[in-house]
Amino acid sequence: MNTTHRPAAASLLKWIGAGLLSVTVVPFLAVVFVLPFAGRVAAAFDYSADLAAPQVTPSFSLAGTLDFFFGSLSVSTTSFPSGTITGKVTGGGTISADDPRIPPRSRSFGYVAMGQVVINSSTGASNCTPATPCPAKGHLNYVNHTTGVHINGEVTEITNFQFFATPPGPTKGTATFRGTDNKSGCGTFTVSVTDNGEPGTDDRFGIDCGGETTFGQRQHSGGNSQIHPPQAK
Amino acid sequence: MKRLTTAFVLALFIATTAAASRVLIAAGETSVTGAGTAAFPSGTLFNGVTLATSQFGKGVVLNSDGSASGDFYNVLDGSTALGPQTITVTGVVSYGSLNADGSATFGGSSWVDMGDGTPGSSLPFTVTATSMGITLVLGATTLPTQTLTSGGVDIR
Repeated sequence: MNTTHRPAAASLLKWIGAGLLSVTVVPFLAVVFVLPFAGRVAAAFDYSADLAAPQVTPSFSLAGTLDFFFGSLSVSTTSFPSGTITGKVTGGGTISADDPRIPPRSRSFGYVAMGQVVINSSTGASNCTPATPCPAKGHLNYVNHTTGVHINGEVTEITNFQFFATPPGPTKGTATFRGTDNKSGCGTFTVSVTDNGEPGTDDRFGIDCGGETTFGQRQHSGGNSQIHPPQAK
Repeated sequence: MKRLTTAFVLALFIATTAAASRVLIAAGETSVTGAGTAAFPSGTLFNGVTLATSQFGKGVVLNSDGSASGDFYNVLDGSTALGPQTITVTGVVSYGSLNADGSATFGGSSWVDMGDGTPGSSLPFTVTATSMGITLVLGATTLPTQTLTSGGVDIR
């Protein structure tokens, strides 16, 4: 009897050992060998400067790579307010600091856009889209000092509103809103902004209205764009 | 029964008034936006800098309770005996209200960079804005009104 049981127990121990080895060593090897290339893989993605999307600079980080591999195993600690809030974004300043086509201080802007939005508590995104815009109010003033174009009009719709971070800590996020110009005759304007924190030196502002464009969001050369903390509706 | 009806009508009236008040308060928000350039009167001096022109951008929400939120940015172009000097004022708005003459006054805390290589400093600021120009108060100094030369200011 003993002679038949001992090989079976040894075989079981072998399987357990192999299992332990695979769940510890394999992920370690994966991190060691794949880590150096992860940044290049991420950089290979095209983050185009779309007006409706924040500009993202691809970068490599250990935390990001570990999150990439093990994110599905971890429990997310980021949570945003859920439900209906008053989404509000304000700004005043000049562009640009990152595009030679738009010399610093060659464009001035001031705006207010606010409306009720429904926030997804896990992503920070809202229900506002270009296809299903959220009604909004506010105003825009924008001046191109090179050409003299002055865009001035009421804000009527928010087509994108998303928090990247909410209190505690600085509020960050992005928003896109639309309205009708009644000064230069360019028609419907679309403005997209990104609040990357304080001070506003890394914030971004972009506008499209008829032939007037900033070629996507451009970095401020001064001033601030502010996604305001969540406010009850 | 009559008392009950009276009480019901009274309660309904109070509830309606309260709801209407909330709507009116919500509707009491005013936006002040502006972008453009302006000019100082000749001879304007600030901390030894002769100011000539300016550039501005602002987006402010005024609430009916005197609170406000938003951003103010003002670039003051001037010169000293050493040459051109540009002062920048970046303000975070925390209070404001509409005035009887249709202008708006708002203020808060600002970061002032004198543009001469010295460290910037924090100063309280106040702005009175009209469709014709803006008057900036920095700390205890009231600068002469900057008269619009391009762009505009909207108070709605």
